[in-house]
Amino acid sequence: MISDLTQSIILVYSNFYIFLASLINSYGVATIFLSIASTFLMIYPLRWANKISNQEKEFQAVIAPQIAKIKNECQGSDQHHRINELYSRYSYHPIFAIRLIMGIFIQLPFLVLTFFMFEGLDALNGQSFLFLQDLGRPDSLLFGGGNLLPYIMTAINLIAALFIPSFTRKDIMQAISVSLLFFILLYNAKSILLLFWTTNNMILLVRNLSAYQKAAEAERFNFRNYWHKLHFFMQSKELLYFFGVLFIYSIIFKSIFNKSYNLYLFNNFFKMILIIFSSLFLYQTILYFKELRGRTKRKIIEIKIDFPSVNLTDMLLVLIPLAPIVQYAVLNQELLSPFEQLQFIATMAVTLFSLVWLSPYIFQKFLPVYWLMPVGLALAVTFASMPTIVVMSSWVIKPDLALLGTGLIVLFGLFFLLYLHQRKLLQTLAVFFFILNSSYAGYITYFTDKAETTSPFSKKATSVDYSNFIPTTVMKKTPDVFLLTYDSYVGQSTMQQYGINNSAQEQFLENHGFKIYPKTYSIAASSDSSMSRMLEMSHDLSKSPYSSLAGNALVPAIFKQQGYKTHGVLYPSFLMNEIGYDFSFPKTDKNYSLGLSSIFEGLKEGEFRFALINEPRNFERSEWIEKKRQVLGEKTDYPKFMYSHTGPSHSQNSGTCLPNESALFEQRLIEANNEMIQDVETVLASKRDAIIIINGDHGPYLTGDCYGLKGVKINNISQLHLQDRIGTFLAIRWPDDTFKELDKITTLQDTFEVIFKYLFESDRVLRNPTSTTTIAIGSTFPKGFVENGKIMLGSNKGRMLYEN
Amino acid sequence: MKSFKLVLIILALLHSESAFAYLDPGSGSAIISVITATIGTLWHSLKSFFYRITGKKSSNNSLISKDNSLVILSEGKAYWGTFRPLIEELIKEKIPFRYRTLDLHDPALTIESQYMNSKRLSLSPFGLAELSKIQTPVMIATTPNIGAKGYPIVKPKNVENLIHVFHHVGDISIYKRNSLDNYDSVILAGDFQEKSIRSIEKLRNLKSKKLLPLGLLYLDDLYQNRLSNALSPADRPTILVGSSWGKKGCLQTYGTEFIHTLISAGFKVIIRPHPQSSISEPEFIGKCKRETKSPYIIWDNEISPSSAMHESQLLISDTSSLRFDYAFLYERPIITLEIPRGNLSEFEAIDLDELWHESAAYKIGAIANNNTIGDIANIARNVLKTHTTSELESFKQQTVANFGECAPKVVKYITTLKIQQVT
Repeated sequence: MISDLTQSIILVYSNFYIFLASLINSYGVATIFLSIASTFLMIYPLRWANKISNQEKEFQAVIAPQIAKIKNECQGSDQHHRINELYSRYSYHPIFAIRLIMGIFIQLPFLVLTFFMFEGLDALNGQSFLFLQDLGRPDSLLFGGGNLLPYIMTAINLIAALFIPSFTRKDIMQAISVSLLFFILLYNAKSILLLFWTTNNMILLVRNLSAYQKAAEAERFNFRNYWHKLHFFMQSKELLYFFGVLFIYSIIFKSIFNKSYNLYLFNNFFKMILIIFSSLFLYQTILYFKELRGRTKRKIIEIKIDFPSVNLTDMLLVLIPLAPIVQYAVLNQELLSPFEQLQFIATMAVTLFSLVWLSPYIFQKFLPVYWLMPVGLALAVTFASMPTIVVMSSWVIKPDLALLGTGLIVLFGLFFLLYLHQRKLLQTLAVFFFILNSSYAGYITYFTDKAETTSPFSKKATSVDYSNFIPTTVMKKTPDVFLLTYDSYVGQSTMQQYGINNSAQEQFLENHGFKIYPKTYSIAASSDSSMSRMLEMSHDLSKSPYSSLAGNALVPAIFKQQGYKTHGVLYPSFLMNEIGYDFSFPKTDKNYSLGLSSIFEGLKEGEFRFALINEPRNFERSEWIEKKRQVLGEKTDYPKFMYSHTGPSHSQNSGTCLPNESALFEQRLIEANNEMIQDVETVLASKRDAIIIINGDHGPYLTGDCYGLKGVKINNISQLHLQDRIGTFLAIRWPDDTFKELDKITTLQDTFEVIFKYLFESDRVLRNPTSTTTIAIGSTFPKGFVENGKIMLGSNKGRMLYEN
Repeated sequence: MKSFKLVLIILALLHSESAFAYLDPGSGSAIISVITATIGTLWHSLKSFFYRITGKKSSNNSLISKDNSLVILSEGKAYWGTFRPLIEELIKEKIPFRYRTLDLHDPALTIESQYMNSKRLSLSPFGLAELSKIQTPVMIATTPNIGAKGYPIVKPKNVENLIHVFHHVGDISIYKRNSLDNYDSVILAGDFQEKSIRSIEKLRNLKSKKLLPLGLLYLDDLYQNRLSNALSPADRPTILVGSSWGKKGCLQTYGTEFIHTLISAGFKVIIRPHPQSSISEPEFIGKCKRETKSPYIIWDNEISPSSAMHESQLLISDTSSLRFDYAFLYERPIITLEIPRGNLSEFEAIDLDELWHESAAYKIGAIANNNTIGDIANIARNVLKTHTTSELESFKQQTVANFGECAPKVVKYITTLKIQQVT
């Protein structure tokens, strides 16, 4: 009821806004007009609210000193009763403090409506205004794809705060905190929303300026005083030394972080520090020579460096950046053995300790520790959290440097204030934060239901469940079976929608006896979840998908039972678990680990890239292909099953499409097609009976945000979005025609049911066939988006997935 | 709590869901205060619950009866001088009483005593309703006009004896009309006040009030807190201008021109408006302040007039009783500026044949009016030259009863009434 009413109000509001915009012929001007009009409408209600708020301030001004006095004089029940009686005398209750935000209560409904109105207004998409390209998206006007408007909004807010008469230092600190909080919350909001808010704040600034003009001198913020302080501060030698140390840090970082996001971050950090340090050095030199000539006498403010000094309990602060490190170690248990987890944490602890504690300890005789410790902490937290930040953001290759820079400064400010004034609290928070983070990571990894199925150490890790498989006899036919998976490969009907013509490749396959299944899709949309379900012939998994991929699935297990030798020539990440194949490549023994080096590499780059662990390290790509072809072409006296997984692979998964994303995919596709042709020709050259399955595991992710369509409403998800994610390719070369009676494949996961029907010459091999219902994909696609080939939700609800 | 606030901020910063809120930096700090207060309230309520179940109850005010203890009603801090001696004496004598004030800034609210139950009431309908429900055998107030038509404060039905105490030296002529009509008793400063009260009673056919010449409480307070009589050296002789509020005030009647005349003549002036002026005529006072910007003019807004009286050698005033405070406490000369009777039409003076302050004005100094106001500087010089203290001392003895020891007398009288006594 309330929801319907709210929706109706938003609709009316939205219609009014569109009408206004059409009248003015500009969404931007209409927004500014709306902001100004709403400000004027609020004048009288806000004046009343301000009166109420001032009354509350008056109360607090009278009561607060008395409470402080009582707290000083007594404790426990005495204190409580005296405070109670104080409240009673003044007919006051502490909850009355809510009157302070009476103005917000008045404005909030309007602002919330405006927020939702703009959020739901698709008409804004693509509309430009002044320097804003698209009012329906964040502005992305700063270098590195950062947003400019949030900075303008925050700057106006902070300036407005400085012009509030009688605003205390405490009030200013709170205003800074709140402005920064809103900066974070609204950073990725639509430009239109920022435009509306910024206009509101501009009006507020004008009002504050007017009040500032009328205020007495004593009530005004003393800009001159702060300017003088800054001027003297610039002259201090400690500042030069501080940037000298930062310069050393930046050189070290620059030499270590030479790839990807961290390369951009620390390269620019180096440049920035170099500029500041050089400028300060020049400034100091000029001052020195001026002094030498006797022209000027410097007024130097001596900075106390005796307080506070580094102590042993400061080591606890290392726990703050160490918390994400522990999280990475725990959450990547599939990649790291317990010993490797400890090794990773210990190595990083020593590194972070050097930056956070050891370095300030060494430099403390020359520099204030309360500068060095916070800066070390801020840098360490940024470095350690970088992979998490990258995952949360939509950066492509380059980070949003302005945002990272702001983050670094804010972190430094926060740690500086806490270290200087609330050192024990900071240490307590470090412990609290570390325990909370590690416990949470530990809980979801080791103690949830999911943990049991994903843990490589659980009993289920390599066990195979045969309960759904019916045949108990030997196979009637034993041809080689090659499962050649080409990551992100889709059929021509989808390819043509990207503007790619791949029909020649399909023609090649048909010419070589393949049957193409053009309407198959996968019930899952990532390699591990799709292929593991194919190999388990099941909708649900009872163990880690990576264990299934490593040869511990039902399909290879059945082949083994039937005298087949099984092979896995795969991405290294598919072979990180206990290996179930008889032969595999690239992993060769149990002590071979890619996890530790991958995680260190990820930290260095600032991103745990999808492909990081799949990049060849101890082998060459040509060696990998040679191994695959060897299995494909080798004549053996035993039948073989091989699962091989190769490119073209999907988009870069950053959450933002590269401008040439489809072109890049097409380039990779050409390579994959060549590889496929040679694979097929190799098998056929051996002249053995073989079932060749050529498939894609999911779509290439070239539409929407080229990733999970985060934030897209379900109703806006189209047929192409779905084909782009769960669409697959399937072509099978059967040794003879007897398959035709059994040939009923809807999803990729049905493939081996049909293969085994053919091999066992049986009408039924599974007690319960695999469900055709898609599983949930990220947070945007709920379970059951497609069922039995039909789209159940979204903008093309009711159509078939491949219907034209 | 400070630390807690920091934790809140940090947790808020760690949270990254999108949200919406108004970005006014002032509101931002208010939000933090409200969050802190909300958590503080929950904590406070939990503690209250804990202490209640563990039997640790508050003790003090439960001693004071809600139906037969004495009640003092004050309009606020402006009358603190009147009630302070009485409150101190009641606490000293361990007599339980209730104190009700309409002012958040009333210093009486800061007193913590087991014999005193204080409460701030507002002038909102809720506050006035609570006031009207007071039940007591005796209620003391210094507010004239309680229960009068059009006045927001009504006389509570269950108050048996409403006693008025004066906060000025003078008869009731400068009170607004019907000022004491609903009072049952009046504690007089001295016998001189009886005449005007009885005259009004007769005129309006009112029930005869009990009149008790026990003295002036506020004069006790001023006397006790009087600064040393010795004047501190000043560049210029200082004149205190004490104005009543409304039409009977010298500022409304004569404007600020005479003040400039005094400054031009080499005086320094302290202007002290009646405390009621800031409530009843703030715009007018603002205008006067703008008109009197000078390094030799000071506006005095202190609760107590002691400092201003101490620093000056001469007082210029109107019908204000400040004249008599000044005369009796500091024994320095006064110039009374005549207020035309027409200006007193809203006051009891209109129903009185004789006004005590008119005759008394001659006994404490000189008088100036519209005809002589231009010569105010010369009158001032002349008064300062010819002034003697002996006449003032004699006039004080005739006028004020129990000077300096009024409070014990009042308390002694109260104890004879049917109020809750020491248990």
